[in-house]
This record gives sequence, C-alpha cells and structure tokens, in this order.
Amino acid sequence: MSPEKLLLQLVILYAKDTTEHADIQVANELCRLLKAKTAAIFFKDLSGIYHLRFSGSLYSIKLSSTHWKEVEAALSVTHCEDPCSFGPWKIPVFGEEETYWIGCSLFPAPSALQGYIVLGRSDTPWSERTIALLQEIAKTIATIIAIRVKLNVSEYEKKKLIDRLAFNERRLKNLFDASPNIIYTCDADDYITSLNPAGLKALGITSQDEVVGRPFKELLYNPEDRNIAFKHLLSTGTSTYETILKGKNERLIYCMESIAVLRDENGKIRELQGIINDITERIEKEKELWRTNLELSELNSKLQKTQELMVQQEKLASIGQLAAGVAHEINNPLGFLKSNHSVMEKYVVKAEDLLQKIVDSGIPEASKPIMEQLGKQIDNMKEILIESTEGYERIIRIVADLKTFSRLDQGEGFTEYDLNAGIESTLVVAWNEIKYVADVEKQLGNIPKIMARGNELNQVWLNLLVNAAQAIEGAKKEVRGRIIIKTWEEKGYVMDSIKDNGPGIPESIRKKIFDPFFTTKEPGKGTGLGLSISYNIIVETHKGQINVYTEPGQGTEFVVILPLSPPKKVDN
Amino acid sequence: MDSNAAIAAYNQKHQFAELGIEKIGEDTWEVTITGELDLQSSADAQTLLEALLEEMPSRSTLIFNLEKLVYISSTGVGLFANLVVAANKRRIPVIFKKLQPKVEQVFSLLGILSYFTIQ
Repeated sequence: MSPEKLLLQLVILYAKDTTEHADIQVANELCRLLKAKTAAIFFKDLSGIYHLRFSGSLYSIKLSSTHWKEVEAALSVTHCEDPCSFGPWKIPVFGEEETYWIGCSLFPAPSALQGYIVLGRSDTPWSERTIALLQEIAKTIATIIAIRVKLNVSEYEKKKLIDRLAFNERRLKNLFDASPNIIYTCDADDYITSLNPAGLKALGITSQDEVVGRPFKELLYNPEDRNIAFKHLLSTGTSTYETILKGKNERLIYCMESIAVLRDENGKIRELQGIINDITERIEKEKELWRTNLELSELNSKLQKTQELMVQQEKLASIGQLAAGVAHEINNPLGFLKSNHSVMEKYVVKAEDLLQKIVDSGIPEASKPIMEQLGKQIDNMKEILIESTEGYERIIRIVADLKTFSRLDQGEGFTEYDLNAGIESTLVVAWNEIKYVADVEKQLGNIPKIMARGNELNQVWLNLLVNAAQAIEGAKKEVRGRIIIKTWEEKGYVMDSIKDNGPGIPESIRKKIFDPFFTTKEPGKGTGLGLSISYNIIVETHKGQINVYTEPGQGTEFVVILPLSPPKKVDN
Repeated sequence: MDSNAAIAAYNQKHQFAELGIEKIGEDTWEVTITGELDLQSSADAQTLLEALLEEMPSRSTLIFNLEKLVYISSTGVGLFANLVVAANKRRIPVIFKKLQPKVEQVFSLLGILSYFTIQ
C-alpha cells in the first residue's frame, strides 16, 4: 500500500472514532499494515498525565512517571537519532519483549506535548523505508493527537465550568431559600419578581404567585417610604433604611432593609435585590422603654411638684405658726405689763399731786430739802415711765409685725397687701440671720397696695433675704456686708429689689438657680427649693417676674416685678 | 454659642436631614428639623440637642418645628422620647409644632404620641 493510502486509512480511523479507542485502532492497523507485532502510541497531555495506547489492548492506559521515563530513556535523542532503532525492549509492564523496535517522537521540541510512536517485532529488523514511513505517520498522528488533547482540555474546562455554575446556582438558591431574612428581587420598575420562603412566612402568604408581579410598595405600611429608599439608592448606590411592612391581617413588621442594584454592561438597571431584617422585636422593646421612661418622667415631675408644694406649705405653716405662737405668748404678759404701766403712771401723778399739796399746806423749813428730794425722785420715776412707754411701743410693734407676717387666715384668696409693710415684718423675722453679717439699708418708695397672697410673698422676701445674708456670710469679705432693699412703682407694676454685696453667682450656676432641688450648700443645709418655690409664687401664682442680676465679685440683685392685680385666672 | 459649629457639622454630615436652632423669645428656643431622620441622623441629633438642653436656663421653653420633617424611622422616634424625658428633668416644657400626618402616625404607632404636647 502506498504511504498516502496508509495515512489516509489512519486519518479515516480517527475521523470515525473521536474517543481514545481511535488510537488503539490506529495501533492495531499499523501492526497489520506494517507487519509489526506491537505498535504503541505514548503521549503526555497538558495536565501532565501519561497515556499509553497500544495494539491489542482494550483501553487507554495511564502510565506512572517512572515508566514514562523508561520509555523516554529508550527513545531519547541522546541514544539515537530521531527516528531511531533500538531493542530488544518491551513496553513497560504491559508488553512482550520484542527484538527489533523503531520509534519516533511525535512532537518536536519545543512543545507542551510529549509523545512517541513505536513499532516492535522480533522476526525481522526494520527497513529504512519503514523508518521513513514511520516519521510521516508520526507527523500525521501528532497533529490529530494535539487537536484532541486541546479539545479534551476545553471539554474538561467546559464541564468544570458547568459544574461551577450549577453549584453557584445551588448556593444562591440555598441562600435565598434557607435565609431567615426576607429576601426579594424586583425588576427595574420595582415589580416583585421573587420572594423567598422567609418573606412569604413573614407576610403570611402561602405562595409567591400572590406577590410576584405586584409593585413592591404595596407591601409597605407607608408606600411613599419607597420613594425615600430610591432617593438614597440612586444617590449612594446602596441603601440601608428602616421601613414598615404590612403583612396579612394588618400585622405590622418593623424592618431594616438593604437594597442593592444590579446593572447590566450598559449601566441599565436589571434587578433590585433586597434583604430585610425583621427588627419588630427590638422596636417593640424600645417602644416599651420609651413609654416607660416618659411615664416615669411625668410621674416624677408630678411628684416633685407635689413635694415642692408640700414643703412650701409646711414652711409657710411652720414659720407662721412660730411667729403666731411667739406673738401670742408675748401678748399676754405684755397686756398686763402695759396696764400696770398706765396704772403706775396714774399713781405717780397722784403722788406728785399729794406732794404738792403738802408743800402748799406749809412745811417746816427743815423738811424743805427732804420735800425737794422727794420731788426729784418722782421726776425720775416719771422719766423712767416715759422710757418704758417707748419700750412697750417697740414690743407692741414687733408683735404686730410677727402677726402680719404669719397671717394664716389669708391662705386662700388674694387680698390687699402692703409690700413695704410685708418687707418690714419679714425683716423682723429674718433679723437674727442678718444682724451679724450685714447692714440693711431700706429705700422703700411710695407704692400702692397690690392684690396678693401676703404670706406667700413674705416667704419670698424671707427666702431672698436669708439667701443674701448666707451669701455674704460665706464670702468672708473685709468689707462689711450690705443688703439694700428698694421698692418703687413703674408703669403699673410694683418693683422690689433686694441687693447684696456678696460674692455673686457664677455664670454656669446662674442658669440653674431656679431648678428645684438645685443647691450649692452642703447636703443637709437647705433643700434647694427656696428659689424654686419663690419662682412659683411670683411667676405662677402672682403672674409677676423675678429677675437676677449678678456678677462674680460684685454681688447679686434680685428684682421682683408684681402687677397691681393679677389677671383673673384660677390657680390649681 | 459653639453649637453653631456643631449644627453646621451635623448638616454637613447628614445629607438628608437638616437642623436649625433659633432663639425666638426671652427664654424660648425653636428647633427646626427638615427632611428625614433615620437611626444615625437621629442619634447624632439627640447628642446635639441634649447638649443644647443643658445650656438652656431653667423654666425656658423648647419648641420643635417639624413642619418639614417628611420621614422618621421607627428608631428615630427615640430621639424625641429621650429629649422629652431630659427636658422634664429640667422642668423645660417641650412643644411640638406642625407635625406632618405621616410623622404623627409613626409617633402614634409607637405609642408615645400621648406624651407629647402638640400645637
């Protein structure tokens, strides 16, 4: 057979069979046509696996690298020219020993592939012609083997790719199905394309058909919220925000949602993908927390107000009672002292009279000096009686002031109140606190009486005066303390200023002085309610104003502004 | 007040929310909140406003003008709940002005509308 015909035969064999068996067929055919005992094709593919396909075998065989090296050794170019004759030899492991072999490498260097074709027989050596023919055969086979190897690779790669894709699909599906979070997808117009089982469960829906194709915003408690989500999405690319879903039976689900946008190669939106975290439980807890806090806060305020009121009234009551009690105690002895005093005055006058009568009726010369002395004694008595009168007047005034201060019977309504008198009477009560630390200067102007709750206002003056005195005392200045009290009328209001030259109030504290329970004194020294109560009395009860002007190092001035008559409003 | 710097920083940081504070009377402050309040922007606002509250003298009044607040998240509501509690401590009344229906709805849903004074 001509070489061309032979090659054609081989090629046809390859064309008919695309599997590895083709190589074996070719080996078989070579044995037949070239009268070889054994024909074999060896090659190493791109993955580094060594293949052996020889005549008479049923399957392709994979060789170990050791055996491959044996083959290489037999056919390497250092031993002979390529193609070469060699022998005796046998195919490693599987072959029979034959005497005469010819071999040829399939792929000239450099090539990623390596391979050989060998023919062996033991009866006759190989002719030059056959050796040359073998080279031609080698070239033909090499090309075909190279193509097949590459094809196999791409087949293999393709299979791997398909496997990976299939696995990825399963992974994503698992994520979608198994996730406890709600996962959904929408198309570019925000119509739902899928909703995972967790989502169906949360919304109380049995199948996706109920939602697929509907606009997503229908699921929201507030459909407009969707626009806000998109606004964020389009400006920042992703959006995480809170929303409320509406499930079956109007059940509300508070959510934290993340939306991602999937775009195609042209930047057009293909899909919206959302993951929703159900935060209803957390929101419910927070809701309870807020409500509890607000409830407590309100209750607390009420309690504080009640406490203040009680303290205020108790203070009022106790001071008032004290003052009233003292006044009462003094009044009784004062009463009979006064009456004794006037009786005494009469006796003295009578005695003087009688003395005069004695003198007029004529007395011996020796008695005149004694009569003169008697007269002087009576004069002394009269002087003392006059002085005592002044003393009694003072005591009576003090008692009256105490009574004025403590007028408990006027606890409920507004009555006419003389502010100046109120201040005077308060000074009497506060004098003990003030007298050692400060001088008091009064500039009490001509002011009309106002409608007020006198005893409450007195409490305010008491509080301000005591504060002033305590401030001065605490400062320990070289200069003598001074409190100036001024009253005047301005534009239909009565103004009262109490000013001290104490240390003043620092800016940081000034804002808080009217806060209830705020105090700069040590614990136990004062409740911190004085100014708060005073504020309530002036502003809330009497609709006035209380302003503070102060400068650290310069002293403090409180100015109280009171209307002549508060507007008719019922206080609670 | 250096709170102006704090407010500017806040408005810079939050794209969709805007805060404004104005003293409108002797002792009345009006806080205007525009736009949207979510978890982050309301948390920051709370810090800022709590600081303001500290600065306010006792017995002053705080007004919230929410005319232009178009969205508040469920967690954002906490801002107002916490501020009212803090204000109550200082005896500073808080008044809400011009609530949008949507916002009022959220307050109501979360059960705290009744604790707020609305004008």
